Amino acid sequence: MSRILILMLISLCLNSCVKYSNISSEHDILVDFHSNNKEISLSDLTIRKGRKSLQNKYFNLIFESALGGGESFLGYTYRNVHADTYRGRFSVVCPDKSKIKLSVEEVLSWPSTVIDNDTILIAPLICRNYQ
Amino acid sequence: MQDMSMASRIQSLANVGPSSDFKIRLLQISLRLLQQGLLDNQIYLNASVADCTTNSGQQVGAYVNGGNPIINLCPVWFNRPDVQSWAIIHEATHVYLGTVDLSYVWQDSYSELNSFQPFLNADSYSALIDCLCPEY
Repeated sequence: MSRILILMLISLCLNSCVKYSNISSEHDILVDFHSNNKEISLSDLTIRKGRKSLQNKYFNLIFESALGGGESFLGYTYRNVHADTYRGRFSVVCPDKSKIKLSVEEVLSWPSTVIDNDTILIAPLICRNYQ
Repeated sequence: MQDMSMASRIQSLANVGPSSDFKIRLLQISLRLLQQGLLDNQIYLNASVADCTTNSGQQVGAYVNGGNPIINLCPVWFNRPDVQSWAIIHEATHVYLGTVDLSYVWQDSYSELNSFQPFLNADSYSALIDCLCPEY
């Protein structure tokens, strides 16, 4: 009887354990860094799974779609990692060599303005504000 | 010439030295198992929206169930051609190689995996195959 119960429990565990993948969207944004961060250049920025370039006086940041994921047991999610909420997808090296890590969500929450039909995000003072 | 280049790329991606034949062999066996698993066609294309929604309401792209060797593809997956192959390989390694998610490529900890951890990490296989097939 106890063996049957143990087998049932193992079966329940196996069938209730789910690994899933979530997929973040691609974000293609223009950012005005220099208004508040005159000392930061394009080479001070790092994007994990993405690209960066200079477009006129703005930085063009592209965060590519990325796979994240999680695990659940009996319907309860006990681990969930998402590429847009991970702090460190975007990082800035400050003049004092300290590294500021930000998530895509934090970057997208910066204030914006529209210039010539382009939406420009305005980066706040990063090196002191985020430390 | 092509083979030499491929071998050196596998070697560097597997983070092994030139004399680490065991790790190269392990990688070859893993990729063969992965290939065979995908050829077995155990991919379920019609997972329902309800099955693809977590308790917190998140729509997922794909999932695998611990007791069932099937990759379930969700509606979200079909709208994302940019990560479709990456997701299939990732899930397939869970099913056929028993990998876990130690770290995703966009996490800092990914570059800190030791020389054996990539063999256990699902995203490492996706990254390897993506690197071997840059254009298709």
